[in-house]
Amino acid sequence: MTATSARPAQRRRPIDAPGAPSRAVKGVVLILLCAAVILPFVGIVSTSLADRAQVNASGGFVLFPTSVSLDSYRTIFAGGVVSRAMAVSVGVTVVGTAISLAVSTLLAYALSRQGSFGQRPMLMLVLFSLLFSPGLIPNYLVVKELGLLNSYWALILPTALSAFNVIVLRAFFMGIPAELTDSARIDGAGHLTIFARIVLPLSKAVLAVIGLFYAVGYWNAFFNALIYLNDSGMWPLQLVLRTYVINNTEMSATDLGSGVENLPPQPSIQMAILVVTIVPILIVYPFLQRHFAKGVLTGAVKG
Amino acid sequence: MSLSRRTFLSAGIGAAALMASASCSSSTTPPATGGGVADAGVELPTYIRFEGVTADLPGTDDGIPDTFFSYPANPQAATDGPPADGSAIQGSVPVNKAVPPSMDRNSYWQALNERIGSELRLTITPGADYPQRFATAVAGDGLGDVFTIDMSFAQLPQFLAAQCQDLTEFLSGDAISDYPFLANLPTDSWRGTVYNGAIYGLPISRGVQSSGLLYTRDDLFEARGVDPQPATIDDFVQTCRDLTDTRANTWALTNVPMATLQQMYGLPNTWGVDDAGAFSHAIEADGYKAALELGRSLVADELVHPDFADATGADAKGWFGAGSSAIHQDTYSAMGSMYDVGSTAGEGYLVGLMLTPGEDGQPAPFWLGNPNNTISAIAKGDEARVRMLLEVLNFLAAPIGTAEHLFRKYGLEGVHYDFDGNNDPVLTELGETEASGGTFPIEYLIDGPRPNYYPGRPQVAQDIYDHMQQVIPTGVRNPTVGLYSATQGTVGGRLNTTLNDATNAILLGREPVSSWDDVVADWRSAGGDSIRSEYEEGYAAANG
Repeated sequence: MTATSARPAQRRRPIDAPGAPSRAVKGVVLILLCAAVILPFVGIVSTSLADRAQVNASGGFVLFPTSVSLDSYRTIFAGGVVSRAMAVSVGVTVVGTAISLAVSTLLAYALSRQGSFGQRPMLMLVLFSLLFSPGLIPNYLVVKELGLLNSYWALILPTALSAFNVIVLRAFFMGIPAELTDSARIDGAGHLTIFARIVLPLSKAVLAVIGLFYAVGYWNAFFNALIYLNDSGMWPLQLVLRTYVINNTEMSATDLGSGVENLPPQPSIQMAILVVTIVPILIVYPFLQRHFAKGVLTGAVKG
Repeated sequence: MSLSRRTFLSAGIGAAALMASASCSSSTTPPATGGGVADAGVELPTYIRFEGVTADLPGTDDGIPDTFFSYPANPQAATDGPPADGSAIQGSVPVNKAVPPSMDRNSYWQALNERIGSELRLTITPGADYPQRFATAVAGDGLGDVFTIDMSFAQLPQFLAAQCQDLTEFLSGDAISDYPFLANLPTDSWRGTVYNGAIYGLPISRGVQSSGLLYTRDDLFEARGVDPQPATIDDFVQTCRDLTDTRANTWALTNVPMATLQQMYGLPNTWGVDDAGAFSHAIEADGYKAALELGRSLVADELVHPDFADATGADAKGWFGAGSSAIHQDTYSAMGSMYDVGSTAGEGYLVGLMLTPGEDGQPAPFWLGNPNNTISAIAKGDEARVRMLLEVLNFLAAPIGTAEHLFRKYGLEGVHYDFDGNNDPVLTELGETEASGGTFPIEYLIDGPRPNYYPGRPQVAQDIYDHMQQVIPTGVRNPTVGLYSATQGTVGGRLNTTLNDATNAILLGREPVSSWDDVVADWRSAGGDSIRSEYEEGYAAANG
């Protein structure tokens, strides 16, 4: 019978063991995909290490440098501006993330408890800020009237709370079984104890992800600094490096009489800047990797 | 940080008040000036040339700047004592280089404060972000005492009238003689500072240095045996063919030099005006279509670098320096960077300046660039404060050859620069960083007239002087310099983007040249005609 003769064939080739040609095709596709992701990054690092002759010879983008020059890095770190800006960025990112996590988890916990005082109006307010955001100038005036201009707090407080992150946290907190918090309450625990000793320890995954969202946000932010800080010595890394990327395209107009001849080529400087801005935040990812999938899914399937 | 409940409330009220005022802003804004009213009725500052320094090749009345082959020997102080009164001076400026170290860590900046006699607290913003910073600071009253104006700011005359000091009584006519270095700035530059019939700003003067031309890699021309001075438009095209070798990845042109092509066909410098005071835009002239056709054929014949359409200015200069292309359109000011990009090309690297050929076989009439990079302004204040700030700006406008200029551009000898054998100051690494390579952003508050001076390259200064001598007398002005059009201020940027996109579509062969008539018709109805009538109104007011 046809049916019986087909069965042994199915046994010989189970559904999860594809044939050699199929595997080869998949392998090639995956290799190409990996190359598409990795090669630009290799190019960025290589170009940042290339000298002018190589950059010129390769049309501006070096994939494999024949010699290594650190001149681009020396140029951007000259004068200590970049080093100082990096310290500012790290400080703002660490302090900002801590503050953001603190206020976001507290608000999300309150919003996740049915019957909290003013829960619904508060939730509406949070959602309202998702739909309508104030313009630049009202923001500026508020920051100015609060006396935050030209202070590091101007980089942290206006963006300390993200409504989106609060909603994700609230969804996660609501998923924690009520039995756990109820039993704690029977044992005499108050809200703060329940929050600190039960809810937070159970929420490490989502805290890691939301913390990362906040950290990346603080690390990448430059516009607040541009608007709120008058003293360029307080600028974070992204804003300082932005001046290189943007202004190097227009250097000529102001270069009369400068006498500079041996600046590294523009592409090298710009790629060195990319490396400097990407690497620190990239280092954080592996530590949060194991929490990441679970944390992201939380926001995806519950709401 | 202290934060009282009252402060918090007032911040909220401030924001609410702003939102409320946004809906009824017409009641608080100063009266508009209508169309463009420029220097109607105001006497421009008298030009008093500073005679303290003798140039190697003195400048001319038609705009050729002083030329120096080395830094003038023994620069003397031309002012006596610090100009400021010791009170802090706040300012806002853009920067077009890497941002210099902040005041507390910048010995050049500290020495500058010492010489000025006050602390100069500058808010420095990257040039590309300055418009946004400027607009925010205008709303929040955060620009300071003296600041660079963002010329693209909508309703500029109204802003100047509302928040900036009318400087007419301090600077008009002979009154400017109190500030000899401001009086040393050319009259053409002052024309751009007049709004609402009064002097509201100070020019960041560039003179003719912002005029565009074609640079040539003369070493590459010589190697191929090609004459870098074509006599006719056909010769120019042939020159491009001779320099192109696509198999060797070399193309004659870095991009399509539309401004130069328009000059070849004798078009007006962006805007033209006839004897009756009627304005017409270059894009409306038939010659514009001829220029488009020439540009399109240059691209179709592969004489232009294939990546030109989305290249930045730095990319194009890089190709020029690397020899991928041998002709590049840029301004006189860019000459320094033309050599910077070729710094590894070896000894023979040589940059020349082409005389643009015209249709009749003679050099084409030369478009003069805007005499000002931008303008700066002073916040409204009492007379003593305004005079003090003008003294400071006068100090900062000292011309080349004075001790003030030497310090301002190069810092302290032995720290920020050293003299070389040719008596040219050469910046040290510290000078490059702290003094922004000779372009510390105070140059966007005020600057002296820009000379032809290329440290270590006297021949370059001579070449530029020679080129200027031939083309500046044929100079064509843009008649809208010194006029204001409110429509240009609000929709001009968008209109220019549309025109550029349409031009590129034709150059790249996506649209036929014949489609240009529709582009012009759209431009006229979308604001072009309004801009024209505003300029005409302003021109009539200024010229009787």
